[in-house]
Amino acid sequence: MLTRKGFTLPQIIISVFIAMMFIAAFYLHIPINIILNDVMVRLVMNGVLVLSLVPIMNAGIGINFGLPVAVMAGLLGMCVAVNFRFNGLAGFFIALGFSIPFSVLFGTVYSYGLNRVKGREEIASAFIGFSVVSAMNIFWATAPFSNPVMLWPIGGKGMRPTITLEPFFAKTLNRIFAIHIGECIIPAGMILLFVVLCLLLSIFFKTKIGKAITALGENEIYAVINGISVGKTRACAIILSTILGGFGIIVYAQSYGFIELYDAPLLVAFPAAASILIGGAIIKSNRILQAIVGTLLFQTIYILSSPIANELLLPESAEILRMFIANAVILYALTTQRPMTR
Amino acid sequence: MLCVDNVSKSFGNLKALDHISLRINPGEIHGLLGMNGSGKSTLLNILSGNPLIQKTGGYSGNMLIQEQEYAPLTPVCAIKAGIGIVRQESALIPGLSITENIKLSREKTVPFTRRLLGSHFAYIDKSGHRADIVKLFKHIGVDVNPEEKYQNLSIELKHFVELAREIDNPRLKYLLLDEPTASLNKEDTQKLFKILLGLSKKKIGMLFVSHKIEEVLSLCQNITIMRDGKIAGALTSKHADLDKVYECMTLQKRVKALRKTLSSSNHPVVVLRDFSANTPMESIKDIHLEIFQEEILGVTSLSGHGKNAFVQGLMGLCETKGALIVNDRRMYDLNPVRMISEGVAYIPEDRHTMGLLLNQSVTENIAFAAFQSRNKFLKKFPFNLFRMFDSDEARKYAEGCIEKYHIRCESVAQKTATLSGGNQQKVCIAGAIATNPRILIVSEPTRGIDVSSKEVILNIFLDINHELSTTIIVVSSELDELKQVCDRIVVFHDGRIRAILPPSASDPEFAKHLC
Repeated sequence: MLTRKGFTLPQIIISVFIAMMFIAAFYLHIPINIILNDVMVRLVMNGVLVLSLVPIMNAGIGINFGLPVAVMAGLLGMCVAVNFRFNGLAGFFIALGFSIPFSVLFGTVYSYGLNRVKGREEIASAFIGFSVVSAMNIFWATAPFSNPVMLWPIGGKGMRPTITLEPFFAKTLNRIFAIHIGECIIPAGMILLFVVLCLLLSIFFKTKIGKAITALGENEIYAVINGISVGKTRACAIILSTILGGFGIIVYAQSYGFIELYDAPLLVAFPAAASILIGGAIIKSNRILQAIVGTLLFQTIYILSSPIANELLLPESAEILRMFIANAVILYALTTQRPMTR
Repeated sequence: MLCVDNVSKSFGNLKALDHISLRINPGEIHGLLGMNGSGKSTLLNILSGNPLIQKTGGYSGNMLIQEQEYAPLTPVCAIKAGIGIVRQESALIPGLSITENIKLSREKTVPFTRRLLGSHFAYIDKSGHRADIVKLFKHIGVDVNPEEKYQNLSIELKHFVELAREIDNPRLKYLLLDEPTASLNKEDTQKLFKILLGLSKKKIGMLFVSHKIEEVLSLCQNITIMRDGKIAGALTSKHADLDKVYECMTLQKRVKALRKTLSSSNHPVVVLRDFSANTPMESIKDIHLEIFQEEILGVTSLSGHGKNAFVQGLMGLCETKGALIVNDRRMYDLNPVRMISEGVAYIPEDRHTMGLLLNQSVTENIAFAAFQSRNKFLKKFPFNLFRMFDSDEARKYAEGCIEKYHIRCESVAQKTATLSGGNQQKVCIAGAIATNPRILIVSEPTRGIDVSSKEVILNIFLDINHELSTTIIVVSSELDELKQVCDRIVVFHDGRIRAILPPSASDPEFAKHLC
């Protein structure tokens, strides 16, 4: 797969693809500065969700298709914060804080489930994710929240499918420390948070438990012989992933401006999986870098493809193309990766 | 005749083979000796059509079989040309039975169904297969159940099944044997030699690659010695002796590791009472044994007679019963975490699947166990919030180990997967020593390792026993190495201790208790 100059085939294909899209965007007079602005926002919006896959993958469990479990914890954290009308940047961080106990609880139960299906975690996690979304639908319909903006206007019971965050903490992170350069806005606050999370995760993987997780992911028997408890270490990786996933949806929602409940999180894992897989096709060693580079590339393709498709094809084709790209990238990236070692 | 003429092969800038030539006549058992990294495996890979050779740029030179050009691009080409290979690491399918593995891709089919459905969809003649396999194993003198799954076999039996698969190939003309005795005890080795001599009579030529000079001298008529990818010497066994071959291989005089003074301690650090352990392959029963401080205790048995169950039981890696007392403390709820907390370190026999993180660097592998279990290589950052891995300290320690234990690698950042077997084993040992173990349990420490590295490894054990007062339990099927370093040697037979002998005991005495 290596070419003479040391580039891998996937690196060349992806680079050429993005270059072609930028050229097409230029010729179709699609404003590049707005696209770059969008790329930066969407990098962090989705990046934390992608980053949440790292601990679980490092533990050798595979791709966390059960990301909806973490998303539910994040949504609950946000709902509690919104219910008590916390707003602004404090509201955002309080939502993050509220999500942690839910994430720990959900992550513990989730890890118990995944530890019982060792070797088939990826498919099991997908079904756990789907089940949790369905189970939570019942909860959302009967949840005892009291803030009227969260409830159905008629009847006053049950949560709305879409709750606006405008009065609370919508886009607070996007705006803080934002740097305006001409028409381009650099969301420095968002990027700072993402960098801090990446650094903290990087430090975590240099601690005893972090090293144990990595060793377990590579060679379980080796880890056992060296006194590492498989169940507990895997549980730790899963809980950490769940906490990060909860943070991920809160960052996403504040940037999007809405909390989306019920079936909305059903397929949340797929774009995240596509991102980390495409990152893995580019970078071999470091999973955190894979998450960053993968998200950047995936979101760039995502953002560029829609206006180009709208210009060149039917106006409604953008969404179809997005779905096609998400799934095609997963498939392509899988073909370029070697099987996971245990 | 199999002729290899001026074959060269490079991996990037590294010249793995440099104008290698050798001849193997039909019926000849040709010995190939060399240190780890001397190019033996590369030559075998070229001869057996390993696709890795083509992926890495192919090779130069010529090869001929019965005066016809032989240039295998894939293993299928090699098989068609009559080349078979028995590898050191098992290469058959774990979930299939012995019969299915041996007959895979050479299935006999029921003639009627073959005529009706064609050869691809014809029904496999299971009874015919079974009869063939029973006959084959009877012929080679190995007692197995042909229906047993390959994954349930001992490592020794797996080797015989791999050999049987090649022997069953009617096209076989030349057989390549890569370290065939690495995991065999003396009895099984003799059984293997008998089989090979039988094949020799059938005019099948063999290339016998081994680190065990004595075995090559006793079995092979002609011997080729490789060093750094080149032919260092070609000898006939009549004109060669162990020291001469060793010198040719290593350019050094042979100095055997030897325990000078035996341990005189009578303070037991490990006590087993009515101790039993069960693994899927073997078990031990009602073991009473005391292991003394600073002692080097050898443990041996024939395969399946208990030496592996003993070591796995001690580490809590299998089901156990009875009392195990370590450092005067009774071990309830025996498991690796508990044993490690008592200062026990374990170096398993299978380096690749149990002993190393192959995708991690030499530093990571050396430092891992000490970092996890002894809180070494820790730095507190920031403000004692996280206790992180101190990569600088670990790197310095690993660099010290490279010098001290003669680990040959490009740097401490090199991945252990790319090291030779001997150097991988030294990394395992360095990692265990980094934990400052009070008790070190080592299983088959020199399996698949060249003669020079073997002496280095045995000397390391003697040194840490002397310098750190470490009690060492060496489990091995190599009696000679146990005699070199041990104070006492425990012989297991049928899951029980048959004898505890001094290292000075004679080979016949050991044989009497082993069999």
